[in-house]
Amino acid sequence: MSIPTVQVSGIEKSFLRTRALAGVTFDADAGITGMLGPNGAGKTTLLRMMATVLAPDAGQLRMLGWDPGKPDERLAIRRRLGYMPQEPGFHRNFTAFEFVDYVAILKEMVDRRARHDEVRRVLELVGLEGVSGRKIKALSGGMRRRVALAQALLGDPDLLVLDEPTAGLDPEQRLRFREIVSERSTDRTVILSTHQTEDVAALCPRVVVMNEGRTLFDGTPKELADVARGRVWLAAERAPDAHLSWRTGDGRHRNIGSAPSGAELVEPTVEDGYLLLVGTKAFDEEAA
Amino acid sequence: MVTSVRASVREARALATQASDRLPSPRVVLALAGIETRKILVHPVFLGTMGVCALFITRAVGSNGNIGWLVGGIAVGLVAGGFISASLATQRARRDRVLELFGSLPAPAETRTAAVLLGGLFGPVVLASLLGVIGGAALEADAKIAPYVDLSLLVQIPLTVAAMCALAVALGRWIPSPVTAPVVLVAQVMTGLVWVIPWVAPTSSGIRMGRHVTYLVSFIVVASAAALVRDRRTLLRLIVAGLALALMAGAAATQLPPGGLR
Repeated sequence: MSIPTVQVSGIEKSFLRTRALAGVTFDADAGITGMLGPNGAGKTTLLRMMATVLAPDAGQLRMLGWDPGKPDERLAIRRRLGYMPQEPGFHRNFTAFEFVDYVAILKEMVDRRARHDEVRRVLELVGLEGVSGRKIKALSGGMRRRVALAQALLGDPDLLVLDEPTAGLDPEQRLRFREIVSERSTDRTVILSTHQTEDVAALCPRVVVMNEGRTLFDGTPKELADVARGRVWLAAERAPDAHLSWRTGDGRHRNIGSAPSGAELVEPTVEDGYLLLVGTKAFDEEAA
Repeated sequence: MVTSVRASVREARALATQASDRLPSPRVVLALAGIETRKILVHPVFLGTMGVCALFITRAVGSNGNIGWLVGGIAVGLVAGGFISASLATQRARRDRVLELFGSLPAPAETRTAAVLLGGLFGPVVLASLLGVIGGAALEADAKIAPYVDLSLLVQIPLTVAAMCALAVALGRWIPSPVTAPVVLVAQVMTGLVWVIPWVAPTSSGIRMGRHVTYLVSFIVVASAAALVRDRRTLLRLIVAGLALALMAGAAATQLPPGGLR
C-alpha cells in the first residue's frame, strides 16, 4: 500500500487566542482534492503549512513522504512543490517574464537557457505569452493571477497547492484554469482551496469541507451533494422552517432543510450539501 | 488593532521557524545577482542621480581647479543613487508582499540579500570604476585638478560606492522602510555624519591612504555581514563581522594625520 502524498493528522494552530486549526485530519493522493469552507475556516492556514511556510503547533504533517518540520526534508518538499498563495504578491515593476524568471531562479533553475525555455512554457500554458514583456503593474487582476499560477507550474511539480486560484477570473479563464489543472492531476497531487462549489464539482474527485478549524466532511462531490438529498425543495414561498432559502431565477424559492411532506424535492447539488453542512455563515458569504 | 499586530508578529515568527537551514547556492546567487544588477542600474532613482553625476563631472572640467565638483558628482550620482536603489531593491520582497511565496521556495532568504549585495558590486561599483577612469582621464587636461587625480582616488571611488551599497542593504534588512535610505543620506550631511561614513579623500588631504582603504574594505565586510546575519546568525559570520568591525574601528581612528586633514 502506497503512502498518501499528503498526510494531515490532528493539525492544530493558534494565533494568540484565535484557534485557526483545531485538529484537522485527512489524506490526499494523486488527483485534485478540493478544500471548501467559509472565510476563517482555516483553509489558508492549512495550505500555508502544506506549502512549508507555516509550522503547526501540534499534530503531524507529511508531504510527499517527508516531514516539513525537518530542515532537510522541508527542502526536499520545496523542490517538488508549486504554491500559489491566496494573495500572491508581485514585483510590480517587473515584467511577467522577469517575475516568473526570478521565481525560477529561487527554484534553483540556474541554467539560463533551460530556465528561460521553462518560463516561456508556463507563461504559454496560462495564456500570457502575448503579454510576457508587459510590466505586472499594467496587467489586469485576472492576468496577475495567471502569472501566479504560471510560477506555481514551474518545473512541473509533483505537488500543487493552490489557494483560491480562480478568484477574480472570468468564466473563460476559469475554464482554461480547469483544463490546465485537470491535465496535471492524472499522476500529480493538487490541493485546491476555493469558494467556488462549481469548480469542485467540475474538477475534484475528492472534497474536504472545513469550518472553524475542523474537518466537517471528507468524500466525493457526489457524497457531498447527497448530504442534502431529500432536503432540498422548491416552493412558491420561503419555507419558514428551512435552514436556508433563496429566490431563484424562475421566481420560486429553493429551500434547504427538513422538507415538509409533499414538498417538490429536487436533485441536490454540491453547493446544497456544502451550504447545509456549513450553515448560514457560508450562505451569507455566497449571497454577498 | 493591537491584537492584529501581535498576531502578525506571531505569524511572522512562525514563518521564520520554517526558514531553510541551508546556505545559499553560489550559482543561484549569481543568477539572481544578474537580475538585481540590471534592476539597480535601470532604477529611476539611479538613472536620475547618474544624470546629476554627469552634470557635475562636466562642470568639473574647466572649474578652475575645483575638485569639489568631481567629488560632489560622484557623491550625488553614484553613492546616493546606488545607496537608495540598493536599499529599495533589498526591501522589494517585503514591500511587494511576496515573502509568503518566496518562503515556499528552495532558495533561502539570504540568497536574495546576497544577490542584492552582489548587484551593488556588479552595477554601481563597476560603473564607478569606469567613470572614475574616464573622468580621471578627462581631468588630466585640467592642470589644477590633475594633481588630485591619482590611483588612490580611482581606488576609493568604487570602494566608497561599494561600502554605501553594502550599508544600504544592511539598513534595508534591519530597518525595512522606504524612507530609511533618504533619511540616512540627509542625516549624513545635516549632522556631520558625513565624516564617519565611507568617503573619498584626496591624497592631498594628508590622510593615511593605506589605513583609509583598509577602513573602506572592512566597512564593506561589516555591512555585508550585518545584512546576512539578519537572515541567519552563523558563528562564522559573527566572527568575521567582529574582526572586520575591530579592523574598521582601528583603521578609522588612525587614518587621520597628526593635526587633522589638510
